[in-house]
Amino acid sequence: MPEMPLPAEGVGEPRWLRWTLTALALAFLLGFLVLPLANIFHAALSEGWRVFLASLRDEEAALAIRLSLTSSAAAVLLSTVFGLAAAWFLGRHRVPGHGLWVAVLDLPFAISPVVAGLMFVLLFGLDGWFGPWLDRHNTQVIFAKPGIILATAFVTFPFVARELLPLVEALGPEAEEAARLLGASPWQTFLRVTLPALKWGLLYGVILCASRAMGEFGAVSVVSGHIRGETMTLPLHIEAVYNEYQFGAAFACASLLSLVALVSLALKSFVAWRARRDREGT
Amino acid sequence: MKPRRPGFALSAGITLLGASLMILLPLAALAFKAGHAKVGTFAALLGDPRVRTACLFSLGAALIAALFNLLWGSLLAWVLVRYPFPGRRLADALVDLPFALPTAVAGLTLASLYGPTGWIGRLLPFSAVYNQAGVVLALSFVSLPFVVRSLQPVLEELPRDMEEAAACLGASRWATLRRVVLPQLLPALLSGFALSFARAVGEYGSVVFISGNLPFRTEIAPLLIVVKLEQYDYDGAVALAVIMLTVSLLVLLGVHLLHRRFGGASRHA
Amino acid sequence: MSIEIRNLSKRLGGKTILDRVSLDIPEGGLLALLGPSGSGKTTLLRIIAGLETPDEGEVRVHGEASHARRPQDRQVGFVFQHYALFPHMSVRQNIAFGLDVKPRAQRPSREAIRARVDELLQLIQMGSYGHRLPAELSGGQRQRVALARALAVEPRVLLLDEPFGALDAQVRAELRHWLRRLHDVSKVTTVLVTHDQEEAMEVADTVAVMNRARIEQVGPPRDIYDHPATAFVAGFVGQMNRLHQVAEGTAFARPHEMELSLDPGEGQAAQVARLAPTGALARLRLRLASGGEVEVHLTRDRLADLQIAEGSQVYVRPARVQVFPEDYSI
Repeated sequence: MPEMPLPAEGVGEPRWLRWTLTALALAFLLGFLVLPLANIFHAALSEGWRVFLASLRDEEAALAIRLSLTSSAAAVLLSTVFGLAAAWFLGRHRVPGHGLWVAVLDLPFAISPVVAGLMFVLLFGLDGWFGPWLDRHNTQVIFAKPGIILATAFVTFPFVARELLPLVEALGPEAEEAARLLGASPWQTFLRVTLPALKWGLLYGVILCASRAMGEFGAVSVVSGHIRGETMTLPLHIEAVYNEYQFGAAFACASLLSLVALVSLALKSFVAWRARRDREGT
Repeated sequence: MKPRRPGFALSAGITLLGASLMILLPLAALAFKAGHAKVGTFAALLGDPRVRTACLFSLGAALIAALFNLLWGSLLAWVLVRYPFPGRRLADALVDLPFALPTAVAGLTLASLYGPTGWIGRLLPFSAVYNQAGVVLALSFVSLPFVVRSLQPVLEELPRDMEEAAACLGASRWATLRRVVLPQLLPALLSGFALSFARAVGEYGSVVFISGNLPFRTEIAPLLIVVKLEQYDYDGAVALAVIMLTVSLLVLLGVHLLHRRFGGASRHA
Repeated sequence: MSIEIRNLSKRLGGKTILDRVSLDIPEGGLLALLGPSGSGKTTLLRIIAGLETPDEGEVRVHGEASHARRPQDRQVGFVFQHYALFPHMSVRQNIAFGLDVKPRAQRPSREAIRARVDELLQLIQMGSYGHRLPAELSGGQRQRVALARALAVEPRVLLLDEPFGALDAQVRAELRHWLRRLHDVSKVTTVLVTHDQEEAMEVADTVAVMNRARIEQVGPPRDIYDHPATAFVAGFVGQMNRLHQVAEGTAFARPHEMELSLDPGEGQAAQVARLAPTGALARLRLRLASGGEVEVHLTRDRLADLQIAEGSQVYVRPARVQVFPEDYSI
């Protein structure tokens, strides 16, 4: 957050009002955001460390963690490759229908995760477009891992592109043209001029993408089929044990995801801070 | 021939292929299926009181949540930008918590916190979970950052001399805020409100934990899609999905037009 | 006196912005606060407006101490460098703003406001622009609207903070003359902050030169130019050649007060390094045989008499020297 020049004190709100509003805002943050967060860790440890560790070591939980990690990794990979290409393509070239493509990029954010899951069922389910063909080749997408990966990738697909596109546009072609005139090849230019200028934005997008992927629930829930030990991601596992009234176990897994969320928040702040420092330094 | 910039073919290929396969193909499947559904399906769906109740409740709860966020989000943005206080950066980072926290985790902890034995729930004279209040609570939580994040950059770039000019012209602080500051924040406020609403309408993960999922009471539209899928009522699910999609696309179109009209306030996930 | 400033001091983050500044601004006068950036002139103006509070000292407007008053109660018109027009309001609405926000008891009728706005639109020669938005105006037009907006409430004092700083040279010059004519008509006590000595000299009745948080000299433009009180003023207002050390300090001379000759013995030997014979005066850069350079301005006639060109050997001496005690860097 940059330091903003504020209107002179003689012009702004009276001191008592500033204090009241600040106190109100902080109280709200504390009650509405911090308390739910603290409650997760409190509830996770309320039955003791033994239960806490046992719930994470549980075989189903371990499998769920592994599936969440692989599907998130796949989602990040897809989002990154697509994001770099899309930012370069839409940000550097005069593409017909530019605005339309940017809107298409945003679509996954506009679609309810449940609807997103449904769309993949319509494509790859038994009654879907590719269902019968997949069935003949003994491949299963829906109610299997590929479906989970696809659903996760869908909801996180635009994250990297969205962070990079404004950066590419703001960067302008001058530095790249200068590099080309100095004799650099297109790839050298990309790797040594363009990519370094985008690195913080890229990292920021990857963090957003990864943290959203780890936590995705609705879309994955629809395509997963909830098969224990097979197609359960960590959020789905939490729901399952919660419905069995194993609150301690549910909160233990939730605390793990919350930790990931907190780390991603910290990383995000750090990256935003570094990006600003770099920008202001030049 | 016009020289192309490097990587045109490669980036164009990946972008078009990726967007087509990952985004447009699934949408096409939905549209195709909806196109083949009989008009009767939609009529029957909207005639079904359970569906109607769920849709109206979804819209109503999302609206209340968006209003809640408009109020608190404006306060947060204002305080974060205008009043320096120790720990401001931490508070600012914290605003993103609802985006970072998986929705299932949010639902889980809200259900426990506001439940009868929770830290907050035990202080409340009424129950805030497994009823409509719980749904509004969850929707407000998951969509809180939108208003803050769309307002913040606009507030930061508001030139301070405008408010000083108003003061020198004899305007009271209240008149300055109402007549000079507020009109300039209006597009950002509206777009934050709309984004918040669109997100809340589609939300599923957090609600299933706190709503109790009671038909005719706390059932939301996304949950009904899942129910219909579990009953292998694909036509019904698709019809409902198309209705929801239309609502959120209309809202986002509105936001888009707002940005076109007033120039770019920032976009946020 | 319209505005009396007594011993104003202001520090910010360990830096002294204003150091015991005192100044009297006569009723109906136009005073320019002239100084380089960071000299404290804008802060002084903002304190007069009540936008900032001094650490010490006081400002009296019409004999009345104003420190307890909020900006909105001070009846000052303030014009900002970047116009500060309200972007969502038309030109008319901008000008009428100060009247519209008056408490109901003091607010003029709708018709009176409309008439006042019409009058001001005429005054700024923008009669047909009333319904435009600020974004549809040029920089010079925006600043005229800002001025009309400030005048609409009939302020006791008009404060202008680098009002032409963001404009092109030509527009600047035009607005400068227009401002002077406006002042001659309206007779509102006016304080103009500027870093442009030409602007200050041309527009103001009185110039106060500021440097490093203090006022170095106050006086009519001509006095400031002809009899600078300090080396800083001498160098900041018009060009100055630093000549040599004397017992009392350093000797200075203006470029047009240098005499040139082809006769050895008529001053120091020098070579013409650069000659720019455009305008009424020819500007010469001379390299002294003893080291260092001086600037000399000659009339075109004198240049023709001398028949010199770049590279010529000449002899130069000051017709009038001024000696200042401290050797400030200029």
